Amino acid sequence: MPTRKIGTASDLRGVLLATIEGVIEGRVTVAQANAVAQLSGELHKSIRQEWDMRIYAHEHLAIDKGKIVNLLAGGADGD
Amino acid sequence: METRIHFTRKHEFPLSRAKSKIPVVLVDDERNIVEEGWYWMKGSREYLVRLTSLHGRTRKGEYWYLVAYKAGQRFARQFIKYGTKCFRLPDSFVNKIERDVILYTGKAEGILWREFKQGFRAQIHIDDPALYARIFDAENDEERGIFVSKTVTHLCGYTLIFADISRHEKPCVIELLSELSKTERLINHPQPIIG
Repeated sequence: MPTRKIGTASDLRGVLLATIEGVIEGRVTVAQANAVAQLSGELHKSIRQEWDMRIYAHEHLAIDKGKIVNLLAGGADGD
Repeated sequence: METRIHFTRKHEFPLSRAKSKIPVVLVDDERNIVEEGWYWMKGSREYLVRLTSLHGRTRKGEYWYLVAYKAGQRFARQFIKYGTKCFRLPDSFVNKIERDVILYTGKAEGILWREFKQGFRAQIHIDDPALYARIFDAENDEERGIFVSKTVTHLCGYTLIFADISRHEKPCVIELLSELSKTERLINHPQPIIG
């Protein structure tokens, strides 16, 4: 499996496709494939978290005592 | 040129429809019909076994069915030699296929042919930037999901039969395809970045 650098979502897609192909052709072990899948899962979690944080920042939301607070409204904004 | 491929297992072929008269049509890259004809299925042993890059449509509209017949048969060879081909199937036949078919999408390049011990072949598109196993609604071309299985999996009324991967390889391939699906959505439908 060639060395790949994951910089974009397209890179990740390429890695996943190459891994699937490798498994089918017997060039990639199940353990290696599982590692790639796990890595992809973590990447997606991070991306999701980044999106969520952007939304929080945009809407001036903050967490105060376990509750989400809208800083502009000045009060608890629900959870 | 995008192609969409179906296949089904031998025993799932509608044997009752053996000797059916199957209308077929050849289309060019712009999907213009260039030739029409009929194909007589000769016997019950005939089954959908091989897929080619075909555009298919029924009389009632486009179904994007890609069907070929057992390799080695004269008619199959005749179709295979064309760059673009199409079978037009009767609605009853199509309805059967809708339940028992596997769809793969992708371009003609990068097709990985897999021989199956069970006696059928399938094209697995895995090199194209925008493809892998994706399921589309035959009526409205809406994507229905992505899935894979070593034997048979049901999703949205479809049946998918996947490659001859071993039992211990199956879960990781499924997981990889799941990740691929997520990545595909990320690329095609990124959530809006605020600010």
